[in-house]
Amino acid sequence: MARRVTTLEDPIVEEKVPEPAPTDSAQTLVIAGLMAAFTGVVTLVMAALLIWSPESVADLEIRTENQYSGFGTMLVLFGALQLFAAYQAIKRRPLGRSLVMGIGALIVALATFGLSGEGEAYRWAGVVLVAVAVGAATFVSWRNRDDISEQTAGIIGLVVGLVALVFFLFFSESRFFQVMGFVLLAAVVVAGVYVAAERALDDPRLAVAAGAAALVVYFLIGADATWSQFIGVGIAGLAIGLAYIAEPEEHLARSGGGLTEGWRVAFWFLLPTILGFVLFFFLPTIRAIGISFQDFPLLENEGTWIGWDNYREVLGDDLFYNAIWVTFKYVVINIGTQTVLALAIAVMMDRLTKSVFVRSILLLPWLLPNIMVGLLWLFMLDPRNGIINEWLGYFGIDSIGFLSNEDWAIPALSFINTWKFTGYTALLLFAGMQTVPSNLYEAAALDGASEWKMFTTITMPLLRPVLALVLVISLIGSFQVFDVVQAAAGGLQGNPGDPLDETRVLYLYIYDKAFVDGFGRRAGEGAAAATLLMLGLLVITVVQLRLSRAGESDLA
Amino acid sequence: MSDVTDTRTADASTADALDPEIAERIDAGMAGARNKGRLSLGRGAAWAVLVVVMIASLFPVYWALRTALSNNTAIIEDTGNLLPPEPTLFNFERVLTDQSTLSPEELREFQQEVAAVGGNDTNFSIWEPIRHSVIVSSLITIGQVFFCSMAAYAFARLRFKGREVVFTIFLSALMVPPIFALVPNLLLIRDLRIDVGLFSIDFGWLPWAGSAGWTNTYAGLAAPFFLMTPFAIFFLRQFFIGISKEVEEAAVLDGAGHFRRFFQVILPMAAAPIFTLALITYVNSWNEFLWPFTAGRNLTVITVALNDFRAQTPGTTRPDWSGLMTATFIAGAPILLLFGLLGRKVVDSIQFSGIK
Repeated sequence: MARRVTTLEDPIVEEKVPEPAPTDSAQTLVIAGLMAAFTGVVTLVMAALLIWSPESVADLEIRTENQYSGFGTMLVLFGALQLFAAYQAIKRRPLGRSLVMGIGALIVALATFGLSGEGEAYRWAGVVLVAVAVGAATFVSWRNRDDISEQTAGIIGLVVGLVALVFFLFFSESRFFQVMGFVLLAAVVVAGVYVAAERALDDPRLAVAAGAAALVVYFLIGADATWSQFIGVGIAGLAIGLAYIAEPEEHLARSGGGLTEGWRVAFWFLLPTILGFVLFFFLPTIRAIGISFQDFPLLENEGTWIGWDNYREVLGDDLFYNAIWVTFKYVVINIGTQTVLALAIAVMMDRLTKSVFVRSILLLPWLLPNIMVGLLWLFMLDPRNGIINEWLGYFGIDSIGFLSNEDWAIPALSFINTWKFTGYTALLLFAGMQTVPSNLYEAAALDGASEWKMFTTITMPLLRPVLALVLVISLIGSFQVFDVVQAAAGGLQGNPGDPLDETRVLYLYIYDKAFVDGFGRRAGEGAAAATLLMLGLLVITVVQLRLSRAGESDLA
Repeated sequence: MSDVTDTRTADASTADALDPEIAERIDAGMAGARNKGRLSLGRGAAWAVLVVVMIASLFPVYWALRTALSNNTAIIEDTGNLLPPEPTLFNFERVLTDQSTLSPEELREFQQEVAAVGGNDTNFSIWEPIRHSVIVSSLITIGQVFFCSMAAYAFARLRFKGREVVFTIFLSALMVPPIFALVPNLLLIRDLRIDVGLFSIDFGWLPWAGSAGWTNTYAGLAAPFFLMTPFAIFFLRQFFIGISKEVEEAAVLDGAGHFRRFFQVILPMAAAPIFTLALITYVNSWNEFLWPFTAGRNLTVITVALNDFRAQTPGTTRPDWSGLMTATFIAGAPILLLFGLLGRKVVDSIQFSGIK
């Protein structure tokens, strides 16, 4: 491959003319195509067996109708894809190779491990499929051995495939080795994707379709997915996504100053974070939505589909509306006081001092652990030994059980978080104010405008977008209050005297449903409530940002 | 005012690398503030309010310290005393001591001393939770900062198809409430399990896995935050965009590949913001409650331990406030310490990256 010298801004400077990409001989493609055809047929036969003669695979761990149709769909889709790959290969189109490499290995991984590999027939099918896919990968790579990336992928594929075969053949009874086999296969997939990403994948629609199919399948079987299935589908999504956005080398060269490095480099920089995103943000989101449609006892780790029942249950639960009402009260008091105070402090800082020391002090409460904050105020607000009640006593006010009194609990909790977040909010607003040109103030001062006048006519209008954004951030945070309630007002482990229902905010309600109520036997309902919460937050965000856009700052 | 000038020079490099426009405006604003140095009644009142707000910010922390230094019986009798009544340092010793390691005689003696400062018989033993917190927070900080700086580099400096799309998708993770992903994440971590029975050896060969997967392990508590958080990527990307391209181009001419450029040019040049991010990440991990409360009940980190004390302590007829406040103060002490030493960087980072 031609060595390129690139600068960061200028178009690529070619040191020498790139060698023409190695073209596949008819023979290569035919062999690859035949192999793809073989895997395709076998996959389809597996699908047919599963759909029309489930008893022949009765030893599989398949429990529900949905799983049958899920597996069936998966196998049919991938079988068809594989046949299409074969067709493309025979027609001598480059698409064939990428598909054989990447998706071929993918099918094997999913088919064998998604089905958990317990059945005898499937194990042998798995062995044969692995052999063929790896063989195809190796063969194609070997034919293109001048290309270093293909060569690397080929070697990885070969070694990994051989080890996987050994595991399959001799040790497949034990989950341990199945898992090992899976990890190895995942490596093949990554190698395949790497190559696919570097070479051309000319028709991304297929990849998208396959990705969608993988997600549908995941959704259908996800409820009792084991770790390996979970990762398997994660990798599948990752692979397909990458294949889709992969930029062919030739396009890169042609596009000149546009995209230079391409996924070839970015892939490695992004790999860990993409993995983290998929594993801990993306898939959990989908899985949580799945759980919200299931009767899901946490301890059993598998659910049965019950449609909208969880939502009906939650929406018919008085405690849920109570939680919404409590949270709403909390948010209104908290956001109201916090924003007004923060705005006042920000204006004062803007007019008085830029001292970092002052700002550090104001920021301090924001950095403390929520639990610590809750305990500090639990003590300070204590009716018998708390300093606040002691001080109120100096004014002749009887001591109030701020955190144990039903009427006071929510205002007190709101106030505690106002104490915690005001400094931070003030700093954000203060930062926003620094973008207001100071000559506006100078001009206004020359005209003899008062501070209040300047605030209402200059600061507020220009600060509006920033204020809106800060409001969105703090609103979203405020709706998710949990730790402080837990520490200051008893929360989940409240003592008999604590105002439990009066402080049961949404997070507590969800947590209680998911983990505490009946030892997690109602996790499905918890997930349904959480889904509703997320939708609510989404709506709030969108509405708020819409509203603020309508009143965009005049500064822009 | 000398304070202000100081900061400006100390952090000038950071500020300039970021957004010269804003830095300029801050300078202009400072000049404005200085010119208006005339004393007026309004300004005096505003200063007074600001000072009151500052005191209010600090007072609860001081109050915890004051209570930690007091005899518990004395607090109950002398509630309003702003200084520690009957000062003692023994509270610190007693919450850090693990009573289960004492011999019966030592234990009896120890409990007498505890009773003398008015404490109850809770075995706080917060060394252990602190150690767990330190390990978990360090793990998270190292992983997250490293991986996210790699990603931030890709988003800031590499050009590839779909860059903005992927970045936006990453940011959208900010919209997922933590409790929403809590159950799936717990299942994920838990299913890394060994059952000693015949059929379910899942990921047991991983060195840390216990009988309930990674629950109650350091790895499990760190895992969800170890690889990425959207905020970290977002934060660093801002800084990387600002790093001058000339230096990197020079490295290109030297024949440095992307990885060498990343490690030898970008990382050293962005040391300050990376350090700031590490600080923020550490503080956040230290403060995290929901996840360790769910997945690490038997590997109690400090926040979970505090919550457990809260569940035991008040409600009893004679709460052990000084013990509880000592534990609370110690829980916040590392944060106070870090912030005291390095707070400016955090303040500056909020200044510049909190919004944009």
